[in-house]
Amino acid sequence: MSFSSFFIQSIKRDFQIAAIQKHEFILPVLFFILVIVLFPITVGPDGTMLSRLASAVGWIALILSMLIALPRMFAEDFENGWLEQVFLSGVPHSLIVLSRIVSFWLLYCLPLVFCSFLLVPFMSMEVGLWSVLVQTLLLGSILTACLGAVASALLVASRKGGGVMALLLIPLLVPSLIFAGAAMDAAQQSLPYTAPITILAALAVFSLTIAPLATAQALKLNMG
Amino acid sequence: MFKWLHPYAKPEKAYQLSLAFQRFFMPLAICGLIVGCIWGLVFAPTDYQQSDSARIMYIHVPAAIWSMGVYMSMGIAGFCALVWQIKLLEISVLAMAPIGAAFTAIALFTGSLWGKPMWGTWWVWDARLTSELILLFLYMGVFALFQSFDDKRTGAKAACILAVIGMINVPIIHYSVEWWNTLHQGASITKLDKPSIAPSMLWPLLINIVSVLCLFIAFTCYRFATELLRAESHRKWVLEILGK
Repeated sequence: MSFSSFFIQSIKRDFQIAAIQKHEFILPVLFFILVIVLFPITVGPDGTMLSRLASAVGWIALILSMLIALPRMFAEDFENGWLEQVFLSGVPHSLIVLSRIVSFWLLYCLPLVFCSFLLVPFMSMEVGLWSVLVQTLLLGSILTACLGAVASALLVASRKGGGVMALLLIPLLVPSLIFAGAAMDAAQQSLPYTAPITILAALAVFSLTIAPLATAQALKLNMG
Repeated sequence: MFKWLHPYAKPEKAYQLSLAFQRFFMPLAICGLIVGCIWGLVFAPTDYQQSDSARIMYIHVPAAIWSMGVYMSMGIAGFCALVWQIKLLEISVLAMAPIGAAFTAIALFTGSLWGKPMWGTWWVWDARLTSELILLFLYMGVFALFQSFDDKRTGAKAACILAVIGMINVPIIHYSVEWWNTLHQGASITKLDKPSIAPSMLWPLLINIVSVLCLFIAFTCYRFATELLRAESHRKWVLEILGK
């Protein structure tokens, strides 16, 4: 089997599994919406305040629902032995991991980015600003998926690791949050915002290059 | 060099070496800290602007410098442990992590004590403060990851991977935070430039910086030796030492 056909098949498999287990795929999205709803309720229905907070809320909701989704990234394949079989099959390990990252991003991150449209009615965000937020969220969710792949691979065999995920993921996400915040800030003042978004894209490409290697190492370590 | 280093891959020899290091560096660190602190806190001239509160610098600066230095050495040790599969280096990574976290916490705590009279606030979201805070979380992550495994060896290796990833990330975090800060507020905090400090204040500071390094080495060697005994607790040489 050639590498590209393996890549496509593995992604197809993840989609089929997600189609069977719909609840797992829906839960992070529901969580995302719930976090967004929390803010108007706690802050109060004041429109100007909410629209200032909107982009930050979108990012926080994305990270929190990623923390819900990420522990499942490798857990099932690890437990039922599929991962070990594939690792023995001679396909490069980082390719296996990369296909999982891509399918995870398509299945879990992309719906969240679409759902962030709810910020427009709920937090009275401008549609123009939302389109900038979507750009940062698209790139940022690639980064989150990559770093989260490493974290969830490290924790895949540990029973007590639930709370540790946040501690591993959030400090590493700080740079992307800063650049996303800078882009949103610039867009709010109608200044050019291409520079921070380009840096964000560079960070995403960098992590997409490094993360599969580190993730494969971490998975191999857990297989013993 | 490898011929010379080779015997120390044996846990027994490494244990003896680390104890010898600890015996050498511990008195050095204590003497240096006593001299540096008394010199700095009592005899050094007061700062013309900040009066006596600037004296906290003699504790704050060494802790802050070595909080970053420890992370670097931890990352390098973790990298070597992963590449050459050296078990002893894995243990050394775990020996360093809590010490680095303690240095970071001391730097943050003394910094906020210093900040209250000088800046009028305990905390500002300044670049240095933020990256130091994130460093503290990175240290905690390394240790929490180790603790979350039942199998110590797997946990140690996972901690090494995280230490290496953190080492790649520390410069990115540092520069992004710096950029974020300059975007939001102008440079308002005076930085400690080496040439701009009077020699009468520089000397106690240098003594303290060196002796905190000695303290770090001594603590690491002690923790390393203890962890080694625990990891090898079923071996004969450990039983002999413990039986004594």
